[in-house]
Amino acid sequence: MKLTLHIWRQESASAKGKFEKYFLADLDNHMSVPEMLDHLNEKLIKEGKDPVAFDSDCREGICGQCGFVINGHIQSPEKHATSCQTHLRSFKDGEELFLEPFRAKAFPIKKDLCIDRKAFDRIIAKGGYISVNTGQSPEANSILINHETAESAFDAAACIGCGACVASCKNASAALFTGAKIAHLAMLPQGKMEAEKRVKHMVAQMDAEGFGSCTLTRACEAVCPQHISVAHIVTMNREYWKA
Amino acid sequence: MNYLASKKYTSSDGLKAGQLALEQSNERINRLLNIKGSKTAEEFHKELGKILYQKCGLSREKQQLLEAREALKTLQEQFYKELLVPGNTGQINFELEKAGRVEDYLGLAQLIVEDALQREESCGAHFRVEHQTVEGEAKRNDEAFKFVSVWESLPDGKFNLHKEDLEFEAIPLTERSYK
Repeated sequence: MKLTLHIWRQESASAKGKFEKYFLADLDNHMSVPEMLDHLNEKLIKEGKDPVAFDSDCREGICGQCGFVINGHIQSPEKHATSCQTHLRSFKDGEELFLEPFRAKAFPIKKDLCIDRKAFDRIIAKGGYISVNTGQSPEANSILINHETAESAFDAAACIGCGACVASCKNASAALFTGAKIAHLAMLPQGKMEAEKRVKHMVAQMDAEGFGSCTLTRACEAVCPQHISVAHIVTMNREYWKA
Repeated sequence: MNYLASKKYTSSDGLKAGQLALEQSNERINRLLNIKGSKTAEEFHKELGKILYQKCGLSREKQQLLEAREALKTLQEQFYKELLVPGNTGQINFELEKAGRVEDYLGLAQLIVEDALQREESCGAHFRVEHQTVEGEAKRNDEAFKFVSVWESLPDGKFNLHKEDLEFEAIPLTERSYK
């Protein structure tokens, strides 16, 4: 399989970036996108050139490390998929692919396709947890939670923190990411104690990081690899006014 | 628990240890960058994987393990002569990170093989072809191997075995049966 790649190359956050063109003629259509980049990088290294920097870890769509823009699609041209779960069989032989990093003010580019998502960590650090002593897991029947609530909380907790929601948003809003965490904890009795403090601090941090406002266009929901619903944003807003 | 929290260090101790660690890691990074060979860390990683998978995998045999030991030594020598790491330390360098990991794996792989060779019994995930029952089940040798192996790595690349005996007080040691 043959592909022509146009990849965004940028040495550092402050450097000027541009697309570089690469031609690969010996690809297998079962390769994933990061495998294709590994293959390209081996070639570049042997030619004495700088390999393309990109993040990836689990390569099975559950860690949130990878993620770039492929032909204008956030993460993947496939529905609700990560970049690593996108295979070359999704493209036509001879096609041209444009790969670029997620673009948002709060996600500075580290190099090429790598972005810095520490802003997400700082939002979580402001209250995306419950304060309990660690130790042995508690007795499972001591706090009763019905099946529907447990399932809904888990749907919100499924966020992998990849940042696709921010990249897809015209305002680069982190409302889906932050809303999912707030809704997850607000639904459960363990999270209710700190609910007020949590939502105020996390929303303030979200704004301080430079993420934009949410206008509920649902672009985030459309690309989220975990199908996280914008209903959690509504929960976040309700929690915020309550607090 | 809270092992580190209870320790008292003076600030100069920390500074000295920190300086030393920094020097060591700079020295290591420069050594890897200056080899300037023609093989990538990825290629070494794959070759290493093949050796372990084929000769020190699910079933292990003395002859194969001895071959693995030789092959790993050769691969490690090659690594220090032929490794190619692009770029420098001035920017993000994933290849340099990978080279460091593969360097560690090469050492760890040799230890895995050494331990598999030394343990002349089958036990847990360690199945030595020479030590099995007529039905092909793992055959332990508690007389000789009722210990945890603690390997000390010596500067010449060799390993020195320290045995930590296992004592069974409340529950006697028995054979596990999956039948």
